[in-house]
Order: sequence, then C-alpha cells, then structure tokens
Amino acid sequence: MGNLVSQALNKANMGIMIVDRHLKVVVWNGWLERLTGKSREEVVGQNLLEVCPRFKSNVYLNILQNALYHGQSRFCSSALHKAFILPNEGEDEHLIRQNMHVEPLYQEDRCYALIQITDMTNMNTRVYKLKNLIKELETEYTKIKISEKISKHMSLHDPLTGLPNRLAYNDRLAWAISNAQRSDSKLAVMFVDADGFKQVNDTYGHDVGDQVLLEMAKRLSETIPTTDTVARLGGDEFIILSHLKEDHDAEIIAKQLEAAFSTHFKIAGNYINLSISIGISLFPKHGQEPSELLRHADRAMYKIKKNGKNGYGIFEPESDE
Amino acid sequence: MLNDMQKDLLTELVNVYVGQAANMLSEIVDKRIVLNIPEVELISISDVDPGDRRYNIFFSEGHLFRSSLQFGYEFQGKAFLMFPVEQAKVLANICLGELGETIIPDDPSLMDTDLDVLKEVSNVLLNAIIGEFGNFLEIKLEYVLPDIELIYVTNSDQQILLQNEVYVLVLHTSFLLADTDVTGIIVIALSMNSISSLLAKMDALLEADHG
Repeated sequence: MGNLVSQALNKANMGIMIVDRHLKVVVWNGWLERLTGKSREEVVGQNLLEVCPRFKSNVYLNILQNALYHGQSRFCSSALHKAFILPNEGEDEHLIRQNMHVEPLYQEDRCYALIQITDMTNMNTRVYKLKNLIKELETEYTKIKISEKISKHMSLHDPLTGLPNRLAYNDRLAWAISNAQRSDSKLAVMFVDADGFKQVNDTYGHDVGDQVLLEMAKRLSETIPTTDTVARLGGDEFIILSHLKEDHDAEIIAKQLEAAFSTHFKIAGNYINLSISIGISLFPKHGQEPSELLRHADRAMYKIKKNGKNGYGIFEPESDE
Repeated sequence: MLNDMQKDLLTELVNVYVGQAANMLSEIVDKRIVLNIPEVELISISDVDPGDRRYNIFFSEGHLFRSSLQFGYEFQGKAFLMFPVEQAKVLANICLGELGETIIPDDPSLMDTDLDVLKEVSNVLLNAIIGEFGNFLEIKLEYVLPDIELIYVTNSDQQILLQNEVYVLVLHTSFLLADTDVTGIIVIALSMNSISSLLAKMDALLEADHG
C-alpha cells in the first residue's frame, strides 16, 4: 500500500510537497523533481526557503504560518503570483504560471503544510490569446458600427448638399401624414425647381453648378421653419414638407422662398441670378397619399414653368389633372 | 437581533480583521486596497425587507459571483462573499492591473484567471474574518478552500440563496481602490450554538468594559 501511495504521489500531475513546522521538506514528489531537476534525496530534510527562494517573501511565510499554526487553507492564483517553484536553470521561468494550494495536515501532535502546485501556463496562454481576440473583435465591432452609421446616413442623404434625399423625404412625408391624420392638422408639399439651371451649368461649368446647388439648399433651409423639411430629389429639384395652421400659410412660405432668391448668387467671382418655380399640393385637401401629393405638387410646378417660371402655384384639381 | 453596543463592537472587530486582509491583498497586488465594513447585522433572511437597498443583492435579478467557505468544529458555519458579477469583474481587473478596460454591465464574461483571482481574494478575506472570530472566541477552527460559482438569480429564487440558514451575520463590504468602489456583501451563516457563543462572548466583553 505504501508503495502504491508513493507511486501515485510521484506520478501525480502536480507538484506535491509537505513541510513541517520548521519548514523542513518532508515530501517532494516526482513532478517537482522533473520541474526543478532537484531529486527527492537532495531536497528532503532541507529548509524550504533554501530550496525555493520565493517562499522567503513575507506573503508566503504568512501563508505557511497560517496553515501550520492556525489551520488555515489558502489558494494562490497564478494570475497574481505567477510562479512559486522555478524550473531547472536554462528554462524560461518568465512564461511559467502556477496555482498553489496550501492546506494543513495533522499527524499525532504534529502539524504539517501540504503545498500543491498546479501548472497553469497553458491556461494563462489561452486566456491571454482569448483576451486579445476579444479586444480585436471589439475594435472590429466598433468599426462596423461606425461604417453602418455612415452607410445609413449616406443612404438617406444627398452627398452634395447633405440634405435628406428622396428616400428620407418619402419616409418623413408618410410619417407626417399619419401624424396629421391623427391630430387633424394640415401639410403642404412644395416642389421647387431652379429656373434655367442647365444654362448655369453650360455657362460656368459643373463646379460652379454644384456651388449654386449648395447655395440654393442653404437659402431654402434658412427660409423654412425649423420644424419643416427640405430635401433634394436630384438635379436642381428640391422638395419641402411644411406643417401648416391654415392652407393659405403655404402661400406665405412660397412668397418668402421667392424673396430668398431675389438677390443674385456670387460664386467664384460670378454674379448669377436664379429664380425658382414652386408647385404646391395640400394635405388633406389634395390627397391622402404621399405619392398623390407629390404628383400634384409636380403638376402645379410644371404649370408655373409653362406659364413663364419664377412664381408659385397651388394645385387646382379641375385644370391640373 | 443585535443591540447597538453589540453592533458597534462587532463592526469594530470585523473592521480590524478586514483591515489585515486588505493589507495582505495590497501586498499581493502591489496596490493599496482599502476595505471597509460599514455595517454589521445579525438577521434572519426571512425578516429582510426587499425594499431595503442594502440587500439589493438578495433581491435583484442577475448574475452573481459567490464564494463560500465552510468552517467547523466548535464554531460552525459557512461564510459567503457575494458580488454582482460586474462588480466582481471590476475587482478582478483592479487586482490584475487592468482597470482601464471597459466593463459591459451585466456581462458575466469572467475568464478563468479572473475566477482564480476572485477565489484568492475571497479566500484571504474570509480566512481573515473567520480566523479572527476563532481567535476572539478562543476556539480552534478548521477551514477548507472556498468554492466559487457564478449563479444566475431570478426573481423567484432569490431567497433560496440561503434557504437553510436561519440566522446570518451580514457584513456590508466595500473595496476602495483607484477611484473605484466595489461593493459586495459577506454573509456568515452560523449555527444557533455558534451565534449563542458569539453573543455570550461579546456580552462578557461589554460587561467587563462597563463593570
């Protein structure tokens, strides 16, 4: 039986040693022999502090004292202590990680401390790699979130002016209609088209044309109330969604828009005069559906263009249909 | 169950004990850790008012880190150290010097190394408290290593946490380090005999002081 216990002790996959109250090593197993290169014969009977200098530190002396004199068990983690028993000279001790358990043992009137050392090097390496992987994933996730945000903004905004695009406008119009239906309020859809914009492009070039569109977006945005929306549908076509108290408020806004374009644009040293044509449809008077209101506003604008441009017109069901 | 004098005496005693534990932890992690037990109570879990914020840990849903240490012989019982899991993560990060890392609330992603660190911290703390109770009562104790577990507490099973323990000594704990304040709770479930011997010893001490 004693032989079996001794074989098991030596084959155990952990370091096992026992020290007495004078810190003399009583048991030193095969795992420790293999790690340190120090044989049982060399170590047994020696003082632990000579065999394993790390135990000279107060922290470990206290732990051993508490086990030997107060019966306390103690666990020490590799994450905080790194290693307790250092390997044979020549091996890299910095990579080694060990957990330690210290437990009191009693035989007759004597007390001993059982010190168990478990190799945690592989687990620590895995945790280290896992932590790095988590950090990389978090960084990637942040990048994806940012690019998602950018894509979402791009999908709903016009890249030149930064205004909402047709998609965003349709969404806002549908939302505004459903709100207005519930609160019994009124809306205006205003189709705004620059008069003679093609000529500006042909005369001054596309760069100036783009500057004109930017200035146009600015003037429209600054003229309408902040609760209203201006969007760019494409080319020189803009559309405004206005919240009204009364239907005739639409005309007041239209006149303010016209006035906003009464002064010339100064772009790249050029003075450019640009007027606008505005077609207006009203909710609920001219329709309940977004597409219907847009179509009617477009019709009204087309009529203004046909009748000499530079003005506004409200959709008239009888003549415009 | 404790009168004010007993409460004061016990609070002072455990603060001396945890002060020693904090010194030991500070030495290990090479940073100054201050540990406080602002309040001590002896209560029956069934008498705890769920509306009392100090006992949130018993009554709120979520992941909980729990370390338990059994001790025995003349002074018998089981000591528990409990933290909501995100607080446990902060404490592990403090000890590992990884304080700057972001903690996602209620994310119980404690690594093996974190659990080992928490096992050691709770071992130091519970040993110090139980050990000093033993010294105070002048009796010999036997300890085992703490068991640690991560548990998910739902609304229905909060009180099952300590269902078999009639009276418990509750120590509200607070770790202070580098702008963080990690709060947890230490619950020491004692046998009726142990409670009686603790109260008797305290009364004798108080009597001696006043006599």
